[in-house]
Amino acid sequence: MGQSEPELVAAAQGGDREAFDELVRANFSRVYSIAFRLVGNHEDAEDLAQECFVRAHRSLAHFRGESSLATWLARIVVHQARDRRRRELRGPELVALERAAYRATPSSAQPEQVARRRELTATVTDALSGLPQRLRAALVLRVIEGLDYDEVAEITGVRPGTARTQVMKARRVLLRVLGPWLEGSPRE
Amino acid sequence: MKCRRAHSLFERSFEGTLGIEQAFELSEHVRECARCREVHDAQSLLVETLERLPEPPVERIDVERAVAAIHAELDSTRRTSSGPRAKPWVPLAAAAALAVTVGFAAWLRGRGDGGPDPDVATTITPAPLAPAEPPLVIEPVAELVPGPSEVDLDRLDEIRSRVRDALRAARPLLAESGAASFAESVELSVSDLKGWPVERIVARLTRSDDSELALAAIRYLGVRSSRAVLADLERALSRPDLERAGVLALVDAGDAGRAVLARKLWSLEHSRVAIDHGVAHPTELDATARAEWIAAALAAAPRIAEPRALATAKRLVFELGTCERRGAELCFELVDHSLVREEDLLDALARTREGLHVLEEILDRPLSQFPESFLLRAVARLEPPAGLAWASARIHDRNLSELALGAVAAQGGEGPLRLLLDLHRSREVDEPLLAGAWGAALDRDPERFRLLAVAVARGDVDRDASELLALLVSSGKSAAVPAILALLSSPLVAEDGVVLALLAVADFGRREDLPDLVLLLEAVLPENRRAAAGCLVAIHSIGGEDAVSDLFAGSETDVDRVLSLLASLTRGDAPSVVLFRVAMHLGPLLQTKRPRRQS
Repeated sequence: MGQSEPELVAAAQGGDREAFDELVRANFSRVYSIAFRLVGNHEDAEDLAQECFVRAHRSLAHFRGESSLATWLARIVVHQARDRRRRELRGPELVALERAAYRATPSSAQPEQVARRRELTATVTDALSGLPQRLRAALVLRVIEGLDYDEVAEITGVRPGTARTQVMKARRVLLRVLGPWLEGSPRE
Repeated sequence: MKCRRAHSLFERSFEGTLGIEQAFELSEHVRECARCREVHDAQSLLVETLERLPEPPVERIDVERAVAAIHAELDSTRRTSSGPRAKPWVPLAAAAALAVTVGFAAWLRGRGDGGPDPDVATTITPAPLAPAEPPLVIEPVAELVPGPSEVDLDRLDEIRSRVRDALRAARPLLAESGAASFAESVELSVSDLKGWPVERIVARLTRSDDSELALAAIRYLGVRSSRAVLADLERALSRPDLERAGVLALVDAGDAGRAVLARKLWSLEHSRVAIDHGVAHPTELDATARAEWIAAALAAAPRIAEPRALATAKRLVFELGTCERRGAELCFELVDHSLVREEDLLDALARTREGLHVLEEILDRPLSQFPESFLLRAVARLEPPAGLAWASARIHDRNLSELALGAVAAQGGEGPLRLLLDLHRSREVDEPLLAGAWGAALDRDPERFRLLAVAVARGDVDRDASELLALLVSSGKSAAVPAILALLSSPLVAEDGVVLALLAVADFGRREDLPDLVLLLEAVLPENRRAAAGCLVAIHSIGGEDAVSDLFAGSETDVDRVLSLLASLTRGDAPSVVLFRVAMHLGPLLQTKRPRRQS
């Protein structure tokens, strides 16, 4: 196609289906990655990413270009993940945190460092999925996606200072849950 | 470095925002303190692990399948939303209209009188059908077009002329008595033309080059027409000289006309007229109908970044705020559609009691549903007692404490400040959260802090002056300085607190604080040398040598006075740290002054 993103956006806003498809192709994997970090499994992440583009298509006329398309899409997918979580019972969060805490009890029966690190990764992933959604979104966007606080704030709809506090809080919660494990784990 | 300080620096260390000196100090401490090392290692391992979590399985994505699924979802939604509009009689009506059209054309040809009048022939052909609204044009055509036996084409010119005259004659009534009287008058004038396609003739006249005639035709159609001529009215909107009349005619045309207006609103020069006459003032529409119209218009909004569209959107939301319960509900729904700025929606909601009620309901819903910034702004719009009550009821809930404190900070007046002071005293809330709220409240309106400080300094308010001073100083904000200085003149503040506060002012005071500092210096100099020393440090730190020189302006012996002041401070009981800072600040001044005096 050779069109720039703003050109594609303008064309898609004018009803050009091909242009919209190009935008989906260019952004799907990033949206999916964020969704995956937020929901923790492939199926839900793929669903969420598709829903995100369906919603983006409906709202494309209202995309004002004040932020980048990527930021706008990230905002939609974070919002949707939050909605989805809201619809679910609160139970799973607690269960996930409890499971992580349980797994976070270091096992002396597994001395091998590699195995412990792998288990640590799994435990952190579990704990991550048990974080409250807003803390999780902030942490994912900042630490894992590497966005700066202004971008995190724009996506999650808070002030940059609050985004910073949320990331700090998320780390603290994880530390509290994973403390015993982390303190006994080897460094690379 | 103390362990507590080290812990507070860990976060910044992981963020990479520590200064070199602090990073060095921290690493020294972590090396020496086993406990801090353990905590630090655990934290850095967590950060590392997070950064190295396995990548999401993007290889499992099939983008083309996803694209197809997205379109399938979009198509199914379109079908669902268009489903209820489908009407079984439409094909029949279309067939009937076509049959009539064809029959009429054949009849005209059969008359052999030179063919159909081009004007009439074009008017009886159904306008192109808009896919979304097929019944608009077709259905009434059948009832409008007279049967062949009723039409006498020889009289068409005469009839057109009668219609034109009727419109022109009644035209003044539009301004004098309104569209309804005008239309009645036209109708009376042509009442003997029953059976003739008067309406289509008028519709044809909406395209006339004679603006006045076209305008009158448009307004007549607005009042009297069936939905068949909505397309003509809509077409009038594209002519600058007729747009306003078209807008008014569509308003007159009732719900169907208003629906067209809602759809076309964004391209109108006269969108304001459309809103004024469409929903803002009409008495015949109830609040629900007005709200629905506004919602329909907003739903049809294109990109609203450009100023005119933005102003229209703002106006619509403003009007929505007056539409009682339904308006408030729609405001609430619009939040989710990113159609308009949250700020405007909240302003709209805050306009009526119902809106405020909806705001309260929003705030009672699960918090994760809305961005925090939205909730904070929503609370800020509640009337102060309600907003403060909402926030204070949630401060002790661990999950909501931060948001609630933010909401307290967003409230106006002195009430929130007193609440924050009480929370500080009770120590029931996390100190960093409280400090954050305090800082946010300061940023929002520093003047109320000064007023509170003045009241506390006078003893008019039952709050601990030293505690307030400590909170203001620990904010580290320039905005706090006027309030700090207001407190320092109070005998209620402990002397040590005064000196420490002045040293803080030296760090974050601004030039505009200098006059107050000089006044304070003059007030405390004879009695309180420690405070005087603090003032001098602050004045020099903020205003530099010039500011200190100005203090002694007009004196021949300025250096002597500075020296004498220093000597008196040294003799007095000023803490060594203050004297050290005074010497640091004033030493260079003395060095630069002395040679000039000797020369």
